[in-house]
Amino acid sequence: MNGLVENPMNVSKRKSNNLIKTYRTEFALILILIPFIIMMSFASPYFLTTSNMLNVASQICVIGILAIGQSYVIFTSGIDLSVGAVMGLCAMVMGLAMEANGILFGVILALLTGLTIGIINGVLIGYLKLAAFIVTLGMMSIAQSLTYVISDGNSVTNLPEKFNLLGGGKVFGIPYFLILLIILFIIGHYVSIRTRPGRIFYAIGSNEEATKLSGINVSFYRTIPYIIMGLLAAIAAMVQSSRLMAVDPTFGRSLELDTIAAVVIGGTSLMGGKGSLIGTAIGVLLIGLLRNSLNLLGVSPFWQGTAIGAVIIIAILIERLTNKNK
Amino acid sequence: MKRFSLYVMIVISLFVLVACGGSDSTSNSEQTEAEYSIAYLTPGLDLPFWKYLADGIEAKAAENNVSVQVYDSKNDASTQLQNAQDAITKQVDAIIISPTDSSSAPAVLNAAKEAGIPVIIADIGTDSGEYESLIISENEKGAREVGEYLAEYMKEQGWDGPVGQVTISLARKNGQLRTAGFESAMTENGFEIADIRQLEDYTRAEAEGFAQDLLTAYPNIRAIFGQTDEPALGVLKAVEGANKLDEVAVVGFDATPETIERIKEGKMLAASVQQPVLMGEMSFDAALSVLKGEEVEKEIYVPTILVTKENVSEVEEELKRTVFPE
Repeated sequence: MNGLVENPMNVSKRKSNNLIKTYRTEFALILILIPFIIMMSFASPYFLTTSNMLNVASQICVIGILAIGQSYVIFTSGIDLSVGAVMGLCAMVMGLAMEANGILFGVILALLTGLTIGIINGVLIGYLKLAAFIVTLGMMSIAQSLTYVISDGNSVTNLPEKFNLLGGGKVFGIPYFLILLIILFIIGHYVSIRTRPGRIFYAIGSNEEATKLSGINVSFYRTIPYIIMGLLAAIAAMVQSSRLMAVDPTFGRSLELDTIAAVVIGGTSLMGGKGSLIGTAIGVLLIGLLRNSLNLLGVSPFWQGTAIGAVIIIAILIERLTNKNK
Repeated sequence: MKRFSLYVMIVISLFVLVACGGSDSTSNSEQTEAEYSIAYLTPGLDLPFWKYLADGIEAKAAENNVSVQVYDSKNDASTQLQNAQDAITKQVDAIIISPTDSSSAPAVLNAAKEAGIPVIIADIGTDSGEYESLIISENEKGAREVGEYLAEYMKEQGWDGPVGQVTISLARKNGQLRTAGFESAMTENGFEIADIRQLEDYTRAEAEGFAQDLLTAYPNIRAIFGQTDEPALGVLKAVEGANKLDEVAVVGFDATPETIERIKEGKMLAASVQQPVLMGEMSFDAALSVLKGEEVEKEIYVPTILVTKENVSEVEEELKRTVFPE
């Protein structure tokens, strides 16, 4: 399969002038991103300001964290439709636990919730070979429903003051959540291209049969991305609740589609086996900047969906064009 | 080469798109040369009520040479905060917000406070935080009025069955007030509340489903109260679909032109109608007063109108002006 040849995992083995070939889609996206930023800075005087860029960072943080996990899932040719709902459930569990027993208890419980759901998703998909689309669709419904069950449809508003540190605290003017996002992306990228599990994720998505024949426990490695996803959903829940200092039962709604869009814009194929977290990072950034620009330019909310949809389609078009000519 | 030229075309078309957006907004601002700029954060333009409220704000703003930009929160607390950040970045002079629910408002109020931007809250209410003025309908009184009218009608018919409610979010202050107002009118007149269902999406389809379930679960139910415009019509559709128009009365809160038609036809018994356009106008007036340094009341009440078959032709003209503009 082409996927294996194209794969970023081979970068280290190649000469550096192959870097451009390997990251062709990513470079093409940057070639769009940079002119876009330049144009916007002329179109709106507020665009290229520190405060606006920090705003954009806070706006993309949650999608960014979830998109890391979603990338892994999609590398293995899977999909996770439950991310938004799971994040909502983690947030609600955490909020209620925090109200009663303090920050640490809430954080632990949120991580456990994400972990449990990730394991359930992963085992059903990896070991029992059920279709990822259906399993996670079901899980989305379950998580949403459980959120309402435990909250009785109410919001949690009495989060401990100190919890605001993650969403509101800064060090040298850089918000903590931004540092967290960057660290997660660096670890995520390193794992995906430099470690054995990372390479296996690509291999499974690229050619599952061949991977199995080479003696790798495919079921096990198919499970891992969903577990990572669950944990990241819990972390995203912390960021979100800390920023808003409230948890309401609609948290995370339709975020699964935003994360999938970000991953796909970044050049990762839904068929699995190719793509990179650098692409995903650019995809997340592009969505965030675009949404922000539409607001700054005063584009009517009715039109914004059209603009974002058009960009998603154009991005896939670019991926197709840059990947075919070899 | 062909592919390369296609790629260039895409980049160019993106440029043109951004350029159009940019020039659009500049031409707008040149036209008006507005004295003040105001941001209006709406929970979701898919509900006609919020569109009418926005219309009211925009109409008044045009009269007063103030520019308004509408931001759609899409019923999501996080999108709402992002939009608020973008508005603050654009250095608006004031923010009018209809929060997604009372618990999501404080995050916006804090961000605005940090930037020194005054906030007017139009409807819903907030759990905490500083704001200049809250403009809100007499929710409890309105719900009580429609409940009393319904009780009167049910006594005339000799009905003694219980009634159901399809409520808006009970995390919203206005939801609590409407539910309580209706309930007290019913219980004081000796009628029981069988059950309530809480809306999440505020769509006609969702409410229709809830009402169908109520009709199935409580075969002796005699009336259903739909707490906002589209959902109330969904309730009506369910009752109509079950062929129970003669046995089950439908009352509502809020109105669209369709609601008025249904009341004229006698399919819907009555509705307590908020005046969103008037609410928008009053919110704008409050914002303008604040900007001019004048005192405004902390809470300003907008009366509701009880529309029944008897008075519908009398009040129709008034409704067209203050409830739904043409």
